Amino acid sequence: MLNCKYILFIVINDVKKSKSVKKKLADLGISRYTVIDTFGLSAIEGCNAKISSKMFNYMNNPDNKKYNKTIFVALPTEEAAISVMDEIEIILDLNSDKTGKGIMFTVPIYKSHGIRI
Amino acid sequence: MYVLFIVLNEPEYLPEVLFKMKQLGIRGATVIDSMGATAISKDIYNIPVIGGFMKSIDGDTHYNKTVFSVIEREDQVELVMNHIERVIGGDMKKPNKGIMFVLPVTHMRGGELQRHIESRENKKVMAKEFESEYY
Repeated sequence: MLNCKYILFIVINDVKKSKSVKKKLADLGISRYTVIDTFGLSAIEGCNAKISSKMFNYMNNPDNKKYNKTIFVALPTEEAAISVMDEIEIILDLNSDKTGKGIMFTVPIYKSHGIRI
Repeated sequence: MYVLFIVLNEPEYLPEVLFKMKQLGIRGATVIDSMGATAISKDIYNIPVIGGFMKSIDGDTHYNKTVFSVIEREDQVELVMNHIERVIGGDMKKPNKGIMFVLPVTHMRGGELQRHIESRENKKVMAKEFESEYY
């Protein structure tokens, strides 16, 4: 068991790329992480504050384009976090001028138990 | 850099919360369908058949929404938290309103925020270059 120092959150807007991200994480020796189905702010574009949530049927999105995936993974060191971010950045093409690719960030862990990579 | 987590126990406020965040210049947010501990604490749900029936009657009222967003400065975080508290009824100390907390972000890549920071920095560099050339 490792004393992990950081949690890396990866928000993948292009859900098709989540497979590549998982493969890269496996290549980097990371097999334990959590994946959540999420959605972004763009999912409510066009909606205003007057519309109640019952009327605001965001589930009615046939292309599923506004839904994204969020992965969170515990990492033992800052160096590990940066190297994983470097690799994922290339896959998600986060450096390109196009917006809406996703976001990654790390949060320090105060205390952890039972985390394995 | 900070990440603000907002757990909304009243999901009907979600569009208003996201709309307010956008108004305040927050450049992105991610929403998770979540569930509070009270959602699984009803003993009646454990009774076969009746439990399932009760669950279907209650619907998704026990589900909540968790929003997280990366925010650049502490003053922005404070502002957003104050506005959101007002949007969801004014006092988060009341039970079943929800919870908000902030965590420090050590590294960040991508997202609208990074592009915004980069373009701002570029503008600063260009302004400095222009000044030095001018004088």
